[in-house]
Amino acid sequence: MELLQAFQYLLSPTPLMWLTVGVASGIFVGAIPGLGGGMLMALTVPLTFSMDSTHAVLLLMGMHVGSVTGGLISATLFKMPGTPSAMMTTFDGYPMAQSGKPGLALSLGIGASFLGGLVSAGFLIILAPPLAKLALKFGPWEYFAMVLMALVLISSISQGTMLKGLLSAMLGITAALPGLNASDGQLRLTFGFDSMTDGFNLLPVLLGIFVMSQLIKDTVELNKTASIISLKNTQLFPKLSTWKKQSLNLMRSSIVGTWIGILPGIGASISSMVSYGMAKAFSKTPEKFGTGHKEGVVASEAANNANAGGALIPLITLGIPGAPVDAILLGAMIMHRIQPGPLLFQTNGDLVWALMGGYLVANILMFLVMLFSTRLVARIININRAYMIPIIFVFCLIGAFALSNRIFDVWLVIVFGIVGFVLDKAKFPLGPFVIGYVLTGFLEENLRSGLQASDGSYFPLLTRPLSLIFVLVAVFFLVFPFYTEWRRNRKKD
Amino acid sequence: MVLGGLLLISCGKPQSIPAEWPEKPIKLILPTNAGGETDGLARLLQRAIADKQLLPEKIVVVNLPGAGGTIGTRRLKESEPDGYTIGIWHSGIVTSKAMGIVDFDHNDFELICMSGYTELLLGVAEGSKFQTIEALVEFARNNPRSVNVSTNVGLPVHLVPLLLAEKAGIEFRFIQTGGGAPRLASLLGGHSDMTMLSTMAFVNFKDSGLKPLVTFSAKRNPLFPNVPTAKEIGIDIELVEIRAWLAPKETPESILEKIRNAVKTAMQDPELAEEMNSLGVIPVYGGKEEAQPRLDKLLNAVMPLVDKVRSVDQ
Repeated sequence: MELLQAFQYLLSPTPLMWLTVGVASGIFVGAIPGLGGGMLMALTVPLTFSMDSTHAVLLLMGMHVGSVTGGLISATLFKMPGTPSAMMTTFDGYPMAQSGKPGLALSLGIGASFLGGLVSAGFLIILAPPLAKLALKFGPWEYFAMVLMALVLISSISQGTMLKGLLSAMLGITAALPGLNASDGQLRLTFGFDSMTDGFNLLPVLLGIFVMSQLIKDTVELNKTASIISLKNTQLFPKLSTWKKQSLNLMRSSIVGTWIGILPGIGASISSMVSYGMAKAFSKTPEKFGTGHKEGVVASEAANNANAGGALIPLITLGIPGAPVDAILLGAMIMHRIQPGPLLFQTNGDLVWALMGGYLVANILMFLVMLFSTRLVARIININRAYMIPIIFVFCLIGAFALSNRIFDVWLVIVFGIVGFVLDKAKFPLGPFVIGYVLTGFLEENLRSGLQASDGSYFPLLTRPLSLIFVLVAVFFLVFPFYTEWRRNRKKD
Repeated sequence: MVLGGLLLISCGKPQSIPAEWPEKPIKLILPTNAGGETDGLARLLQRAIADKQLLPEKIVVVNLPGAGGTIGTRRLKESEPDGYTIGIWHSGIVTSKAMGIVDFDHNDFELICMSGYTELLLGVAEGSKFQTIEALVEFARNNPRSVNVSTNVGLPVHLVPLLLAEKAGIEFRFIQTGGGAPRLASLLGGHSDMTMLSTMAFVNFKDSGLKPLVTFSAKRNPLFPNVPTAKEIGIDIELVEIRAWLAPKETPESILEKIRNAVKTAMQDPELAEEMNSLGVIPVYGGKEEAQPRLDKLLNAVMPLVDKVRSVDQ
């Protein structure tokens, strides 16, 4: 009943307008590499001071949902993730678009995003309080073991030789080491440079490795006559049978995305990595990942959108933001004197339902906006890159600067761009670099927190049931390929 | 006639630079992300000062997060002392020095004033085996290093509980957990026993299952009349977390005075006071003479702990 009332409210003109404004601006900003939802939301918060509090939160939530999805546009068409969470989409979305099916790649991503959003909205509306309680059971050891498992599942992601993949991952790990180390509060590998004290931040590194390196590559290859991809007879929307085939992957990726969203302090980019890894591990054709495989696009996009809904669960029920972006949402709510938490259900039940319903409506709006623009957006792929490169270049640098108002970050983008370009030229895969970079800090911090609590003992990794399960899965997938290979060889003999 | 009058006025203006200050917008450096508590406070004050036209030029907030706030404080320290770059920060200005991340503290800046403070409390989860601070201290005395304190290493949430342990002659086990939200999650999930949070967190998360044990303020908080102060249980610590306005060393005193007046007048507005309250900041203005001893006291208290802090396990 309350939910119906909430929808009645949400579909009235003003809330619907704010949601639409949020979603549309989110998609737009999300699609531009360098600019992201977090930035847009942080800039919007002060503008909402004079607004009705529910409207303000709906506007911000719309921006969040829109930006997560918008990132897939540039990831698919240019191999440049518009937001960090769209990073895994580049691996399959881009090859698919290049093979003459940009419309299909886009609509597959859009559909997966939408369904991921729906699944997480379902969890949000039906199971929010118990799920949030369950998530609190995850301590440092569980985080560590879960991400370790994901790392194993994903490890064979790289194309080309294993050695090059490993070297690339090691470079990524190295890039994650410098700066103030949270676990002991000391500086590490700053070589005495004050500007290094904060290390290399996620945004500039990603922009450099993925976007700037691609810009350099595109510039160098500008004179090669780009083949115009004919969009006339290309399939624009996936057939129903495709969705049927993807249904298991969709469900799994959405649940993984939702769950990682619920866990506090772990963001959307890790959720798409984990679900991509799982999709690959469970796939009948794991070798096709990274070549324009539908499963890859679906896994990445379903998970990163589901993450947004999942992250709202601890935010609304406990007042604990599930992902960094939600901290901005929490800040805005507190400024509007809304304190999320168990009491909110009693004191302001209407608002709770409006938020939960609002997330669902935002996803529907996102789907409609994207769906009707797919045909148009797919055409961008044929625009001469000479026009696109300078625009993206500028936004890339602006985005890096705006992160923390430092020129240092702008230089980082350029340096990592060159690193990425050189690695790519030498046929080193960039995926392992970024995965190594993103997961290192997270793994280190949780492992060390766990060790601090256990006085240096590694045993909790095996004595805590949840972490034991993750470790066993990881070991299984680590050993399994060797086992099958050994059996195959024995049969040959 | 009018023209002549204007000419006279403009000629009569003193030529020294400070008197004309400010001629252009003033940069207010915040060593933290947009969207947090200190950021919210800064933006409220910025808006109040602009609305009431307390300064002839705008204040522009510039977020410079990173490395525990030292990216921002360092930039501020190295800025021109012309009054066009100022900043707001909390006792991180002292603790970063104790951790050896930077070699400067508040004495390397001109301290302008303080715009409010937050109270600090130690708390546990509702169902914790420690229902009073005395029970916790007693337990810790008999079982050294068995009370897990979730913290953010090197920041006040680490140094203040450490100070308590020193004075009480006990030892905690510190676990790096991060900001307020992860620490709260860690307590509620039973991954740690105790953490330090602000009054506001204890009020807001009371129903999520958070329970205060002791406050470091001088008096008991009226919101938690049953929670003793540290002094009451025989631990001589009295600390609050101030929000200090800082300027680069050698910024002219006349400029500092103008900023003081603007902040002071802005904070007299009851509406702003209420907004600050809702952020958890107690809206009490204090001049340099009030801010200086508080930071000095913290610095003197934490510097002897330097070796202890820098040698966190693992």
